[in-house]
Amino acid sequence: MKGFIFTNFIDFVEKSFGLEMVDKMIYNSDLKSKGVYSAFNSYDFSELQSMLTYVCSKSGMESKIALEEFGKFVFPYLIGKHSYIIERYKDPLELIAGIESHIHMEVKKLYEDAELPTFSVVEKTKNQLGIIYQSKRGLTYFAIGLMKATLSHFNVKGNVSVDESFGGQENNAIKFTLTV
Amino acid sequence: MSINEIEILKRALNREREAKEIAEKFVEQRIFNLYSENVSLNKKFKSQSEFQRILIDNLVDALFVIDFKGNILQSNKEARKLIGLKSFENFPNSISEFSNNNYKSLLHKFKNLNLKTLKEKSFKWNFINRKKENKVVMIKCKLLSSGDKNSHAIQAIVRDITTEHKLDLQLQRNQEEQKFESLILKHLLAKDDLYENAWTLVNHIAKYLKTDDCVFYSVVNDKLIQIAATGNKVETNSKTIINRLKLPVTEGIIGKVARSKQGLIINDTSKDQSYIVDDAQRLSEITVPIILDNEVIGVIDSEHPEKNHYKQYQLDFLSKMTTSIALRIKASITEFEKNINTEELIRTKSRLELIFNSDHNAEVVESLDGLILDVGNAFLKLFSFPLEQKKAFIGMSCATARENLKVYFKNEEEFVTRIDELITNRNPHLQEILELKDGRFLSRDFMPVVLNGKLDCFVWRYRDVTLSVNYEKNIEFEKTKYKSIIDNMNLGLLEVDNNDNILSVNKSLAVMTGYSTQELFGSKAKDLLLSNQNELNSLFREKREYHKHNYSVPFELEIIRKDGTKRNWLTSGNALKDINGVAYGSVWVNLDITELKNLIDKNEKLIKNLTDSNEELSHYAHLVSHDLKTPLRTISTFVNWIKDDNENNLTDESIEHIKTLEDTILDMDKLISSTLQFAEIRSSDGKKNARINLSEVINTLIANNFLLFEKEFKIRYPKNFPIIEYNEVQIKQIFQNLIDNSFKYRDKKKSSYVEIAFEDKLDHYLFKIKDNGIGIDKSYHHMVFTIFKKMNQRTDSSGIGLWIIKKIIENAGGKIWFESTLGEGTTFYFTVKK
Repeated sequence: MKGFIFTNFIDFVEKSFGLEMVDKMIYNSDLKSKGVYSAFNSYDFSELQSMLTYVCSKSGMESKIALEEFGKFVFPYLIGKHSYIIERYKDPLELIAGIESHIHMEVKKLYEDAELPTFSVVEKTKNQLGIIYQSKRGLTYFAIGLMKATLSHFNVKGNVSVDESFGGQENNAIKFTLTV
Repeated sequence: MSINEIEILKRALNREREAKEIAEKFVEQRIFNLYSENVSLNKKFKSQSEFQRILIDNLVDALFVIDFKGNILQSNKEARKLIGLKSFENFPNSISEFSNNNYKSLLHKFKNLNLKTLKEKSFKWNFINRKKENKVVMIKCKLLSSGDKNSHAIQAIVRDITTEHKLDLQLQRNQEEQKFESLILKHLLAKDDLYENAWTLVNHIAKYLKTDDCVFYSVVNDKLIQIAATGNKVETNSKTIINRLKLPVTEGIIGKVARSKQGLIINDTSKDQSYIVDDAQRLSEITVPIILDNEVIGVIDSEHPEKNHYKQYQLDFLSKMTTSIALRIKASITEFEKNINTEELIRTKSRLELIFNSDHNAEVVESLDGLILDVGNAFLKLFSFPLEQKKAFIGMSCATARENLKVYFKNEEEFVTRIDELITNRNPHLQEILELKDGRFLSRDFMPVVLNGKLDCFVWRYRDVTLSVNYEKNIEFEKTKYKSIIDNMNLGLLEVDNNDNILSVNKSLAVMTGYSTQELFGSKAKDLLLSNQNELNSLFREKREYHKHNYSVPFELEIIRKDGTKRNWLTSGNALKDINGVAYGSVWVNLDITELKNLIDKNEKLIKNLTDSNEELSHYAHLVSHDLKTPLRTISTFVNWIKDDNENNLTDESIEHIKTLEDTILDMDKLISSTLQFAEIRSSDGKKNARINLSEVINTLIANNFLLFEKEFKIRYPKNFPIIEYNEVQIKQIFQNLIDNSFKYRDKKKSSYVEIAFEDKLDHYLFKIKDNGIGIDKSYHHMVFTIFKKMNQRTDSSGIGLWIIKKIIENAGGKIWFESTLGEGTTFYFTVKK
């Protein structure tokens, strides 16, 4: 997993729970990287899982909510760094529909070793977008957080519903439906 | 800050430092990777463009990169080869330098290609390159565009397909030829009729040669006969040839081919003198003989209006093809000839029969062994045998017949011997004239008849030519007569055709021109003879306004003889017409008037000289008489004075002398006056005549001169005289003088009278002045009109009067004479022209 997720997660924990929580989390999580993350490098996904588990157990926050909040936290970072990508879009649904064909292409230019989930558009109207999400890691709520942040970035009210049973267990496929 | 907090921060700081180092290391590594990647990419790029260049150069096709203005941006070796550049020549900068006039359309094609589609496009193109080679190419072109997506040039890959193209054509041609050949063979095998076959043949061949015109000739009896044709030569919707030509094998390109047995292509017939124009002149021609067993049996001839239409391969193919169809054609021709011959035979036979039994030709057919095979009706009539005897003649020995017939001929023995002679010689002999005893003439033809190369029989033909013999004799006689007249008359005759070529002349003309008749024949009359042609032309133009085609009005021409001397001819002409009334020339009658003209010229000069000297003389006479009168008057005055002064002292004898002197002076005065008068009439020649009322003139004359003598001298005259044209002074003088004479010489013993009378004759008036005077002695008659002769000694007469009158009358075209008897009277007659 790309380093910037880890650096952002460290920042997220520091902002939400303080530097002490960060220090304890790194100390208790038995991390191979010893908590030293650079955005350029890739790190084992399990390190993120370990850190997330520690934070949730200490703070009592549900991991789904923590991930969604983390998604919302990362969005401005992504936009700030890559505004040239976002500027092309006037509409959140367009942007989300363009993740696979456009945004992931741009990501690959910078990080050719990035392991990216797939987003395939299955239905698209003016007010609704159906997307199948497929990922090894099951960062479903991280994705939901990102999508919600997108909606509020464009000042659009809407909601994201999740159909977890869509693709069955073995496919790791989930259907999102965005309605605005 | 608690120690715990500091520891936490230290740990966080350490993590950040480590992360920074990792990041720096990563960035360094990344930069290094990028650099090496860049270097290898560069290398790769260079080798690729090199590869491309080699590829382009080694491309088997020519490659051009051209911008839209036609500038050539890139090319390869093959391109140089294709456009035929020599090694030292630079590659053209633009396709406009290709010196091929259709490059513009090529460029246009490229542009269209650009605007319409962005795909590749291929098309065929042909041009002539700098080495004058005909090239056919396949051009495959593609637009080249740079990053901004605007196309900026065209890449054209040009494949030279000239050879393939040729092969393709050859293949196509071969297929066509095969198809055509099989078609013809199929059609020709179907029928034996030469006509049908020939029509099929020409139509197929015309189609094959891509022309309208194809004619098939077959060789029949050494003549090339047009059997079938296409195009203009054929009447619409029929198989009738317009103006079917029959040519001897010696004529035309077709004849040439028939003789040489070699097919021929004429690329430009206007440069070939043997070309014969049939229905129209066409510029290219192909002629192929049809040969069987080394003999030409027919010729196929095709023409095309454009030059260089026919190609060698067509000739090769047709020559090959005709060999395979020759046998078929021959079969057809044989069939055709057989038909013609049979038809001809039947026709000839019936024609002969007709001739044989006609009344005109009296014929006898004699077999080789001297028997009569047949006798024509006319022959029997000729010798007044009844027609029933025909049977008796047939089978009779000719010798017997001759013995019987010879009695009719003037020269009996010769009739028989000549026949024997002719039979022995066995040569045809025509129009031998024989004279019969009854005065008729016969013409005899002897004709041996040869059938299939063997002598078969003899035909004797007699004709009564009495009329024509006599007629010819007459004509001959007339001809000789007129010929000698024409030749000997001193008029030159000249006959010319419409082009002024001399057709005939007579001897006189040859003499007049100095040329021999041989030299004159055939030359142009005007060119040869006229000294100035324009003169004649303008003369004609003038005359024609009045008389169209009638030049019989004579006119004068100046002619140059062979020796260069000029002569004047008086010429008149007439159009000559043939029996159909078409003018074919003209005949000219010429009279050489050079001598006459010279004579007239001389005369005119003489008369002029004479007139001049006459005038001088008159003038002189006038002057002299005038000058003489003055001293005479002086003498007379002085004589009078002497007489008056000495009237009383003079002796009678002296007075007598003076009287004689006075008389002589008076005489002399009269003489001088007469001379003056004489001079005056001479010079009054030219004075104009006027219309004269003669009654008035005579009345005045009598009233002025003779009224006093009314009693002793009666003048009788008619009331009315005619009005005449005359010189007024002179007519007065004539009457005055004649009446004076009657008065002077009146017989005083009688009562004298004079009678004036006139008679109106056809072209003149005759005046008569009759008196009963003393009359004139016969011995003086011859002297009456002689100058200065007086028959008496009267002083009141000069002896010049009658002479002057005679002159006046004769000058005016009249005559004067008289009748006189001594003691009875005199009558003068004179005439005045109307």
